[in-house]
Amino acid sequence: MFRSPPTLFNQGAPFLKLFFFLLLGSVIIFADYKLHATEKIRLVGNNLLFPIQQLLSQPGKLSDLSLDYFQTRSSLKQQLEEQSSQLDNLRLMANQAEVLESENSHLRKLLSLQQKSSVKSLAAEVIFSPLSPSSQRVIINRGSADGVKSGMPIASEAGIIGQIVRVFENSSEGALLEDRDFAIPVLVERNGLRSVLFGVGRGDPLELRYVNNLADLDVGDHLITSGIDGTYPAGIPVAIISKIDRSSENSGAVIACKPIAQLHHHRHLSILLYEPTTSAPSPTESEVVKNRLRQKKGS
Amino acid sequence: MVFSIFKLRTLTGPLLTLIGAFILNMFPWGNSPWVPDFLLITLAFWVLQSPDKINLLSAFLFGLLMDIQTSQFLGVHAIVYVLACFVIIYQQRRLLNATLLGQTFIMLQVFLIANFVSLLILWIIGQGREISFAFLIIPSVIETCLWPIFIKLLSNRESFINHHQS
Repeated sequence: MFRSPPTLFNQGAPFLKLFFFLLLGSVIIFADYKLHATEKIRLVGNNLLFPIQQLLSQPGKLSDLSLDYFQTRSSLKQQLEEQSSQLDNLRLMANQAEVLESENSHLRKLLSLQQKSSVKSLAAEVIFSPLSPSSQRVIINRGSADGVKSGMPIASEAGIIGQIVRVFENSSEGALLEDRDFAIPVLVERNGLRSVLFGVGRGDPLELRYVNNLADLDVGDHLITSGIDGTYPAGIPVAIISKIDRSSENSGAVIACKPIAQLHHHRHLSILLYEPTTSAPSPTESEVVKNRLRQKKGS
Repeated sequence: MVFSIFKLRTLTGPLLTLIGAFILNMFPWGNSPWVPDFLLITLAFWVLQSPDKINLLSAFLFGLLMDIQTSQFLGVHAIVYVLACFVIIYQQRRLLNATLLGQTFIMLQVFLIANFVSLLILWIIGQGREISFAFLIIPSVIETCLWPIFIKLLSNRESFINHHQS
């Protein structure tokens, strides 16, 4: 079925070339993985590929548009009614929130705590999620040109979705909550118990670690960000506890959680332009410790 | 001089199809094991058909591009493509003499090796603790099923180019 004869018929297999390329590949992997020395190459390559990626993500958007366009009148009317009732509710809540905020700031002044910074957000769109057996990532159409920085949280209207891990000029890469070794400090909304929530891997439930076996936790408890690490603003919903296994085989309880936000069904997200304004002083530099040291020296 | 221009002209066919396959890979398919690697199939075809034009170097470079596209560690796809192409060159005589069915069966092994090596590299780096074997079996089988189709499409294209050049 093939007309042309093989040209390398008596040349044999290129073992030397294979060895060379395998070596080169291993060196590049090492340089990327351990030394992070290849970010420049990635930046240039990504700038080349980005226009094509954005172009290729258009068909999905077009179908979304046409679906929106062909909505029926009745459904639109229903939606409008729902939204207006929602708006009334929200207005009421906003009034309450205003009162609470003023009260809160007053109390904070009384306690001479630092004012909490309000969080700005940036609307963004998912371009695609890259194919990878080992991770759960999304590519988003906002980059360093829009003020996005590595480490900023990504959220939907329901709650936290993930975090920016790599920033290009016009796009950035976000890791989802499910990504392996993804960690986020949370507290239980009901009783303020603090812990850290970990991603386990593709499709598996999140895991709440470092919790006492006898801790006061129930299935259905809501977990919100605690804001302790300074990466995530406090009080944003993250997950719901879905299963607690207190068997004696494990040293601690195994607590499975389900993310509140739909991780994989979002086209539109917002990046929280959150940069921590407060930084906790290191314990050795705090005034209390210094005073004590002084006292010790004096005595 | 004349020779180099001629070589460039014969190179455009394979290069265009390879770029086309790469763009096919860039579609927002999503992150699931059901997505085959079209670029790997096309590279395999050209390495088998004309190893003087498409060799391990082009496999390596396209692999690097694929790594940037999938935001994988740079070099993972490169190594996988180079290895797959090497196996094909090594088995070239067997592949070209086999019937289409036999050839497809050998290609299943090649694709299995390629996907296994990519998972193996991730595992060595320490990224693969949770990798499921779906990512080994499913893409390999789909790529094998696509192999006869790609042969038909690409060899038509090749004869088209040859026809116009002569």
